[in-house]
Amino acid sequence: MRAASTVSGLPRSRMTFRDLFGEVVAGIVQRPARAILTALGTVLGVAVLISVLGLTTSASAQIGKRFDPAVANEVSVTSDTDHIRAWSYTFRPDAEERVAALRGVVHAGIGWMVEGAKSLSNLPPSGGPRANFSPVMAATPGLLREAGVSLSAGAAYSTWAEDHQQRLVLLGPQVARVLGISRVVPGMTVWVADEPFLVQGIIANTERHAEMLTAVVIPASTARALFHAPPSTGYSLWAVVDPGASGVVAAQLANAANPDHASSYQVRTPPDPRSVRNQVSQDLNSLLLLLAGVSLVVGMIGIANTTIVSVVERTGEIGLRRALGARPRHIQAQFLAEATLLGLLGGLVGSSIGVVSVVVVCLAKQWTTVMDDRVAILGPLLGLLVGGIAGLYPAWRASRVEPLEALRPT
Amino acid sequence: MEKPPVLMFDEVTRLFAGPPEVTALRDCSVSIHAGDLVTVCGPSGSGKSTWLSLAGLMDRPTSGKVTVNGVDTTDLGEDDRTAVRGQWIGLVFQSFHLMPRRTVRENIELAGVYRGMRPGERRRRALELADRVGLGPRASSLANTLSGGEMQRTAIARALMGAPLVILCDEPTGNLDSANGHQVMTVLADLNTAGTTVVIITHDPRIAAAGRRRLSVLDGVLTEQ
Repeated sequence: MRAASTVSGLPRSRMTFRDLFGEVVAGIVQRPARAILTALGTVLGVAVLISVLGLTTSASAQIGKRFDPAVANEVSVTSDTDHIRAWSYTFRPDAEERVAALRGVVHAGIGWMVEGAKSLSNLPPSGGPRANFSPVMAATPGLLREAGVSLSAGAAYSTWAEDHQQRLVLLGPQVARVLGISRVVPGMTVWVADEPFLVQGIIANTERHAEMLTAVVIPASTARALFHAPPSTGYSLWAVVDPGASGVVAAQLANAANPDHASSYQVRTPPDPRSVRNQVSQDLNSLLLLLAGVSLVVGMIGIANTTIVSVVERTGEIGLRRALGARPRHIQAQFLAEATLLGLLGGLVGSSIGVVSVVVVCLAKQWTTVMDDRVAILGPLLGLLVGGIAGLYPAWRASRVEPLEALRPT
Repeated sequence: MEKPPVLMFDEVTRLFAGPPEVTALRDCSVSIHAGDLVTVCGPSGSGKSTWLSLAGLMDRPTSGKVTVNGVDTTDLGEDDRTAVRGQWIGLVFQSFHLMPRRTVRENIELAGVYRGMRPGERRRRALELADRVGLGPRASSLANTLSGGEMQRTAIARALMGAPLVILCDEPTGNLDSANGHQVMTVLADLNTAGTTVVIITHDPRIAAAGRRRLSVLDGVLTEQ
């Protein structure tokens, strides 16, 4: 039913939704260059946003991969420096075995940095003055396993060597280079603090305890015999645990090391890698989302600006429509719908570009592409919203154009 | 009962506040009846375009009243004035105001969009009107491929879309050469002969001479010759 005007028998001007849609599509299709320019801002804004979201989630997954194996699963207990100063008062002799037996522990070991750098030479003391000095690290065989030591030559020393205070040494790669040693031959000897040690192996790398790379590593029992008590600081028991077990193991670690002194030990657990990863991701997200937000606002301003110019250019057309019977609300609806549809189209194109960009970057970086399915809908919706908001003011301005404008010559 | 005039001005004055203040139309009273062919002639700035914009309900008088088909439009709101204009008045402009990338038929149809006409009905009527103004064979041509005369005839057909009571033409030949101008005037005269009320605003005395009623405007004062 037609709405009647207050003029008797005269129907009010009206426009069906179908006609509105037809006029909007015609308005866009008949000015393709303008439509592309208008939508370009939204295309860029949405493309940046989708790329940011996609790359952030993909990068987060990548960050997780890098974080997890390195730090997630190590806990340690260290002697309290104020109360315990000597080996005999610290961990139980069987502390390492007790900790290794805890559920969730993969490897456990004890170690410390022997105080002061020691002279180092591949010549006996009679060979001349010492030119090289190196840190010395005492480590049980368990600690070598806990540290994930890999060797470029030779082999790690065994529990038997530890139990019998064998004078064996593993050279960190830097130390080996200084001494000019690249391979291990039987009977090869170096002098640490003028004490002879048989070279057992050369360290290639470690998963933890990077200090081993620049030190010489000797059995803990040998270090204790030669260099006396462990220092008051840095004397520690480390344990590698199964993923997720660090909290449970940490709670038992001090008791396992020595229940008599449990309260005086400092137990350290690594920061939860998930929280570290999340923090890094959040920081990254915030920054990049801010960038995408700015792009969207720029896109919105672009649409608003181009649509206002379009309103000015189409003043004659608007005046004509008004002269032909269009009410202000018809004009408003047409321009608002045009801007919204352009925003939607911009969002669709921008989303597609964004997704393709993410896939291409991930392929180039050999990352796994991780994207939320909802992102595919988010882009067009954002475009729709941006277009709608951007179209409000130009549509209002268009509705204010008087039919009289049609009288002005073009 | 006698039918009311299609268009009636009753002591209509239109002032533009300025500065400087300009009286574009002064105490204008005139009635246009069904079937009239009226020309309103006057030099540039005489007030004839003001008269047309008031007659087409595109402007409001400062005083006096404009009546269309017996309806006093003085106190009508914008939507009602739009309804009166859309249903009872056809407008033809000097600049044609065609959509260049639409066909002749689509341009004519545009006037039916705001009248709630169904697409099929619009299409039939548009083709019929294109035929009536001699553009039947060019109904599918894009507007930007037409000559000036063809454009103006398309605009006339568009003005006829809603079967208005009166067609108001603002300098319909102003942008045309004499041959095309003659064609357009022939179409308007034929329409009038068929019963359509036609009002032509012009500054050209030769066009004005075609009117069966000739009005002239000078310094805002309308007189009938």
